[in-house]
Amino acid sequence: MELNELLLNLKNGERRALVEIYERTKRAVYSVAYGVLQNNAAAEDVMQETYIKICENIDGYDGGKPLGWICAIAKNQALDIYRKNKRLVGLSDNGIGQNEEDKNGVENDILASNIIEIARKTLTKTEFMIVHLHLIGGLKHREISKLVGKAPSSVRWIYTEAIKKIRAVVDKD
Amino acid sequence: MKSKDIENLIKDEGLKNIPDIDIERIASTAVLPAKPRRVRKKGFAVAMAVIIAVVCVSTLSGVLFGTVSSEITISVNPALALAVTPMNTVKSVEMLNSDAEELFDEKEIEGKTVEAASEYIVNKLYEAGYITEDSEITVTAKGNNKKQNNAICEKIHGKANRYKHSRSHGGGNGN
Repeated sequence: MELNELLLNLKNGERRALVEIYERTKRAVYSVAYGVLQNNAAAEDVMQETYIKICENIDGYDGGKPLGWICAIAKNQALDIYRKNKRLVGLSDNGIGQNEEDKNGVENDILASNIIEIARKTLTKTEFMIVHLHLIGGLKHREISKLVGKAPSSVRWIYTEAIKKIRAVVDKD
Repeated sequence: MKSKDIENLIKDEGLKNIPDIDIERIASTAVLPAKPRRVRKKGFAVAMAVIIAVVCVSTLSGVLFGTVSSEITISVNPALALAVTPMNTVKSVEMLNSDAEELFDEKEIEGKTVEAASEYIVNKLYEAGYITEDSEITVTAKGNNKKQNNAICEKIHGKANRYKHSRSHGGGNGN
């Protein structure tokens, strides 16, 4: 059964459809949340809120692009949390876990615990989000382009350059 | 290390980090929007069945235009009576209950041919939800001019059935 059919089933009151929707979209939802917040606990909260919101707003689903609709909900939830946290701790626009300035010191940070951490510290927020959405979220460049508001060709280019950056850091290490 | 290896590392590491949320609990407790109600069921779900009783009373002197030759009573829940001339024109209409007064406009019926009037009446019944796919439509006729009465009954019955059919296929107004 296609994802849009599952959403329409949920719209018709079939609650069990949500479990299957979750199985098929959790990678993308997690990736959107993590891409914005760069924090696993916060991403988990966003995932929960996203699936609750899907239920609450299912009447608004018109049968169109299902993954795009779900990712847009996830992104809004993540941005809500991000804005709240930003107000609380005064972070910059580069994410909860990272400021743009951090990039300068990353080459010396050879103690990065894993490749995700290296990527997070090496890349700008947009670069990291694109890499995360593509590799972990499983989204195509075309789908990512709508979420980050850039042309698909730009997304592809940013992605390639981002991987080169990570590779350079890893090779140097 | 090749780019492909970097990509695989990120993917493997990232997939391990995806948290598992209690989706079963969310599925069973989340608030789903209430389903929209179907059109105008009123209190008579059973009587979604539409019963149209047509009573035609022909007069012997019904040759002249303007003279009433048949009296047709249509009763669903809205009930109305039509006085019909031998030329098949509706001379007058009487609303027999408040539902009919609310639903029909006399000006849209009087002076029209029986065909046009019945088209209007059935259309209104359809729009108001009195004709549905599971409606039972009964048309009966009484009167001296059996040929005219049967023709009128068949027209009304035929139109109502077309509307029923179009509703069951999610179509328009049966035209």
